[in-house]
Amino acid sequence: MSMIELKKVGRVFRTSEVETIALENVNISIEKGEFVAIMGPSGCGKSTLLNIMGLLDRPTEGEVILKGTPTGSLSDRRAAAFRNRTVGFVFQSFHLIPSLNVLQNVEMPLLYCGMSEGKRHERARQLLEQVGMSHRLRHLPSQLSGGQSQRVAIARAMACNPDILLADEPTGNLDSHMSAEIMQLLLQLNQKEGRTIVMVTHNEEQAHQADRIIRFFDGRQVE
Amino acid sequence: MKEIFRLALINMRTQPLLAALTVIGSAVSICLVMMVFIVRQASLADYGNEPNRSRTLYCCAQVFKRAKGGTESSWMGGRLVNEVFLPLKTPQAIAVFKGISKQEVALTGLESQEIYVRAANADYFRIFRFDLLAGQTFTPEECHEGSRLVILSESVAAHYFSHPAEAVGQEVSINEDSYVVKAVVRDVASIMKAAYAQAWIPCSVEEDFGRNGPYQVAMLGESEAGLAAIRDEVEQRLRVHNQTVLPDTLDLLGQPASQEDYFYRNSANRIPGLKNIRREFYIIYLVLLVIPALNIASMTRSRLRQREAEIGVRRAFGATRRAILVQTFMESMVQTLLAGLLGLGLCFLLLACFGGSITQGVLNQSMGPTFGFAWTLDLSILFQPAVWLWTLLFCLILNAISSLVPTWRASRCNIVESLK
Repeated sequence: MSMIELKKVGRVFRTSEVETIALENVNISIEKGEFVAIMGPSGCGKSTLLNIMGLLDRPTEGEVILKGTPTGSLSDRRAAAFRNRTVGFVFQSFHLIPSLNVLQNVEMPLLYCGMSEGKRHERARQLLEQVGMSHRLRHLPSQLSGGQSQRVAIARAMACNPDILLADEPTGNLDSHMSAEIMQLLLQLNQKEGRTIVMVTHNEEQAHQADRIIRFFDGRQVE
Repeated sequence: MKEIFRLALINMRTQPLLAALTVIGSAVSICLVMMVFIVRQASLADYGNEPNRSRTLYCCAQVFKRAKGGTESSWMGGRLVNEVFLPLKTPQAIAVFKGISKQEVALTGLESQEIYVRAANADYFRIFRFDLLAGQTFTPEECHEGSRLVILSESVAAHYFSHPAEAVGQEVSINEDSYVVKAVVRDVASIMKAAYAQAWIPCSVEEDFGRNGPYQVAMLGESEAGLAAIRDEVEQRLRVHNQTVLPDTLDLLGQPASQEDYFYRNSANRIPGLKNIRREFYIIYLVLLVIPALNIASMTRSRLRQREAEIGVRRAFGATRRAILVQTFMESMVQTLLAGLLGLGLCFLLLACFGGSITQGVLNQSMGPTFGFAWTLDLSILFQPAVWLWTLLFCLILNAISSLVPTWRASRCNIVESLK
């Protein structure tokens, strides 16, 4: 059973004036424990693909199957539960909540899986230690560097112990040194913990560290 | 729930200006509603020196309908009091009293002061409650005999004597007549239309008692339900009385009337339009609550727009639409609750500081107090949990309605668009 399976997925954005095809007839199967890099020029549909895989968006055609579950007909509640427990997101611009401190940001996804306060604290501390951020628990995101913010974002993505980690250009806003550190962290999560990782990147060098590269052009899978 | 409450406080801290404007707006609204309500309650409900308002009927005006045509309206005369009201059997007590009048009070060797004096019979002190600090109120005999006695309010007594007990038995002059102080009572708030005065003298002292006027009558029923029997008896006696004034007719203009009617009866020839007065109050309440509700709606929308990305992130990490709805909704509720507490405090402060002016306005009289502070309402009236809770509940409902649309919209946001 594939961890992620996309069958004839298409995504069209429609406005009153124009119709834009973002994805067309995409068929992808990603196995458990795989590290897949998605590459392509800007606007080719990479992020749209990742959003669809993570149930942040719905395809206009085709089917997305996560862990053997067809997701097309999931209710808002079940889709939210899937996002909470099965998928973790890492964004290029971190998207940490500015009003919450580091610990609270990592605890946030745990709120939605009904974990008790004590367990939330414990889990968040453990994850922050894992990403080397245990010394910044009470800091606000505005007090962190880009690399530190992304480490916190990775800890948050791992909060509910998801099988799948979706990273949308996770090093896009970081310098080369920080990028290497974040990449190492992702590789560790893949190799040591067996997480399935799908990473959108423009960086060939990073892409080659993945098990497989899928290339896109104008909404179509070309390789 | 604890987490939602904590998040609400955190988010308020991060948007302090919006939060402050929302809370202050609602607080002012709650405060004003409470002030209007409390002043109305103090005027109409069983309270303070007038604890029997709900089972008391009042009469203070009369109108002669001449057989030849035309009417003559006036405040109530002594003949009507003697022939119609005093012989009544149904009331438990019949208080006869006059309106307050400004008179000069003085103690030998000290300069005189103007105070409000009211003439009243013995039953007046049964229907209205006075906190005696020293001495006793008038007996029926003292009233009947026309004894020159006076009951002073605490602030008037304090002006001349070092202790209330010291005043009892002393002589004071009122409009150059000598009176012996019979008792000293705690000050009465000017909002107590029937009970208020700064000195009380027996009604019988008035030379015109029983003949002229103007007089007011308060009749105490056994219960609120028992008031109908009093009305029936008054009507019956009035019919008898009207036989003596034929071919003219005496009419009581809808009296005996309730406390609300009595409170707003400012003219002898007009029945107060209670429906209009109530409608005005409802409009005031509505305006005071709806305007901040609209303000909250726009504040909530603005607040949520600024937090669109956060909502997107929460949705991405597993928050359901319901969870977002509940969280943002609870934030509004927490703000309303804070506003409620602030509004309560503000109301308390304003009434404590400016209550005198407010109640003077309510009474529509220029009753500048000579001694002490006119607002002598027991501040316990402010601690009316029911009033506060109802106002708060109403605000909560309005705030809920006003924040519902922006909150619902936020909960249904497109996650991808929010994260852009």
